[in-house]
Amino acid sequence: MNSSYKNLLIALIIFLTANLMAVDTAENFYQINCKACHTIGGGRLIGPDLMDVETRKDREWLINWIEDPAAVLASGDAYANKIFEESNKVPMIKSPGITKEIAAELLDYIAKITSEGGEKEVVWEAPKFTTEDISKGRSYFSGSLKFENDAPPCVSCHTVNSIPGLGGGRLGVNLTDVYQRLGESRGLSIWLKAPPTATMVPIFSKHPLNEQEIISLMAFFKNEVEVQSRPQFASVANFILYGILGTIIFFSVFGAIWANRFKAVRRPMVKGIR
Amino acid sequence: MNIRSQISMVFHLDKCIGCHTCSVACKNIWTDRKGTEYMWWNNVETKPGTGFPTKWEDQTKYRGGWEVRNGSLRLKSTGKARIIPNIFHNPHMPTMDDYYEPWTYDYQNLFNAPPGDDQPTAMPKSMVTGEYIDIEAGPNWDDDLSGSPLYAENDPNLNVLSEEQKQQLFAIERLVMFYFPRICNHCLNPACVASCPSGALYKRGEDGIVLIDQERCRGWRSCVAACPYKKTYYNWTTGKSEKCILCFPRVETGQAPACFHSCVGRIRYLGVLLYDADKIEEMAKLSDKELVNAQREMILNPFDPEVIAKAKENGIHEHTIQAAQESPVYKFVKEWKMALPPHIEYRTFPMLFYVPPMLPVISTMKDGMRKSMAEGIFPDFDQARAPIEFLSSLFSAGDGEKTRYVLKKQMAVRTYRRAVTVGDIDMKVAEKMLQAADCTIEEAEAIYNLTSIATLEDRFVIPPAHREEAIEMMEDPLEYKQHAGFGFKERPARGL
Repeated sequence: MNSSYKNLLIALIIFLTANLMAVDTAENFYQINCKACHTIGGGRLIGPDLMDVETRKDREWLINWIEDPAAVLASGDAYANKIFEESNKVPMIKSPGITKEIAAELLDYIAKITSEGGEKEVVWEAPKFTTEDISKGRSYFSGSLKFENDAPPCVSCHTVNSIPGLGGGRLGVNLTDVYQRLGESRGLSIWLKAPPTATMVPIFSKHPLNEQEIISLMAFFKNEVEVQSRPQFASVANFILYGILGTIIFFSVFGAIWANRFKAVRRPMVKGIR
Repeated sequence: MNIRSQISMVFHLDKCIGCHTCSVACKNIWTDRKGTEYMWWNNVETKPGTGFPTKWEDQTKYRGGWEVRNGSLRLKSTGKARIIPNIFHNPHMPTMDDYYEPWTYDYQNLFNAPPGDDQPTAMPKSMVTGEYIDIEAGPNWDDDLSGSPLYAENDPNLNVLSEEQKQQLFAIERLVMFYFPRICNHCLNPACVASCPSGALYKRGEDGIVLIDQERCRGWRSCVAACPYKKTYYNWTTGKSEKCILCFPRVETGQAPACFHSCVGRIRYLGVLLYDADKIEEMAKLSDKELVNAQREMILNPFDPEVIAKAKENGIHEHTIQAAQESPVYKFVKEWKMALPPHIEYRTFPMLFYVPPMLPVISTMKDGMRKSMAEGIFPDFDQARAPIEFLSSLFSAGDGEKTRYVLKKQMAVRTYRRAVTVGDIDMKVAEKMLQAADCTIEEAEAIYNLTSIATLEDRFVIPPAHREEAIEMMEDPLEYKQHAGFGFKERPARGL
């Protein structure tokens, strides 16, 4: 009883603070939603450096872009497509809860930092991965090792080519080349600290990954790129095969247990005599 | 002691002529609606025969009734472990074919058929699908032993007979049959009520009539499976189950149920029994052979002052107690021990009792004349065409002594009356027979009266329902006294 109340209280606090953070200021919004892909004056991550962004495009275009990048991209806008190509074809993400007003505030915030000479440069030191990290990362990915803060294992939504059998989840994208796509260790580590997509934010803002877990996962993803295992078509075939097999077994068991469900009394009696 | 009253019944099978008037009366009143065409709340079966639905007595197929397992009483059909895997389809239920597919005839064809070489016919048409069908069976397909090599020989009660007995039973000129009218038994320990997952079935407190609440029924059909007599039916149009209601609207207004009232042979008796509800569970756990006596023991003497006091304490109306004292059922079941419950081994304690039939009077010829009376008009039962084991399997859970007792008494009463009215039998012989049959002359006269010359009031002793008093529990009639016919059916929204 007591613990369930406690849990409820904790959940409530997390919920409130998460909400406060989300709506608080443009800076907070930037930290949660933008930082995984962008820097201001820190050089390119997955997306372009945002220093002096307003010199490259006018404010109206930028607001439209931030508000609904997919729509601008789909409209065939040349500049938008150029960004898309430059970013390893990782599309700009629509941030959850974004509005025109917030977009304008974000641009103000970026302008402010730009005038201050950009973010303080963080010297990035690429971590050294051990083989132990790789195997640990694999365990985290597949869920055989639990994340400290109870985040769900990657495999429930994602897959990588090297997973045998039925493969992983197919709800999210295939993560085999994610290490490359999201800007190697620097980009990926920022991404994993606070995954910004609409699906992942609500989950990982409450259950963030810790430092060690991120390193293990990165080691695992890096290894995936190096090994370059081919996509396993077999896993799709297996999936169908197991499905058919399971169905057959299910129905045969069903048929065996309830074998006489349609057996009447009178008809067999009459048949027996003729 | 927890005394309750029950409207109970006796069917005197020795008087049943198998005319099906009861079935038709019931059908016309209650079950000629859509979805109920196949139901026969009252039906008349020929024994030996498989009945309706086919082989309803075979509980290895239908799993109806109760069983004693590990010292507790359980339903055979729906234990907790059984109900979940079978929740959407109970395999131990009669199929439509085991009842029959109800049909009508295409009478319009007789009028509308185009001119042709042949007479137009009215082809049978299913009342379920509306398609033309070939009739394969009906609710009474084995009536009067029709199709007996198939139907009569499959009577589950024949399992108790030896091969030789079976062959004798079906030998030409020894063939025997009797009629077995059946309605809901309104049991003391009803399996249907116990099985219902929706709690839609209930046994009325005031008269023990078992009913299905049509509002609460969710069509699980557990009752259909659980009732060992297969007397609850699923209405395939409304999606709810229905059963015999013992014509309670008639009973409440002092009339006998339709099947009773219309009975041509006057075989039916209706009356109140008082019983001790506290004993039901304990008694239902006894062994098969003890059950008939156990049920009789539960039925209480309505003249006993202690019983009367306890009954009143339990809210039983004085008039109901009075009716119980005049009840013909009490006499048949408890005083004379002549009426026996059908298949009491199902442990539901049916409250419809049967007087087993005297089967049949064998007339043998000698030198072109009937054999002399000196040998008795009636033969020894053990040489009767229907083996006593067969009757016992139906009416006394296999206890031959109980059936023999009833038949002996019936025969003694007949012999006695023959001595009185015809006089070709010596009264001394008759009296000796009565004595041997555990019967006094007064009792014999009473049995004769109730069997042969009873009036409507003697046969149906219906306690007044006192609905006018029942309503006082809900509202105060005096409150409306001054309205003198004025009032609101629906109260106005502003309030009153």
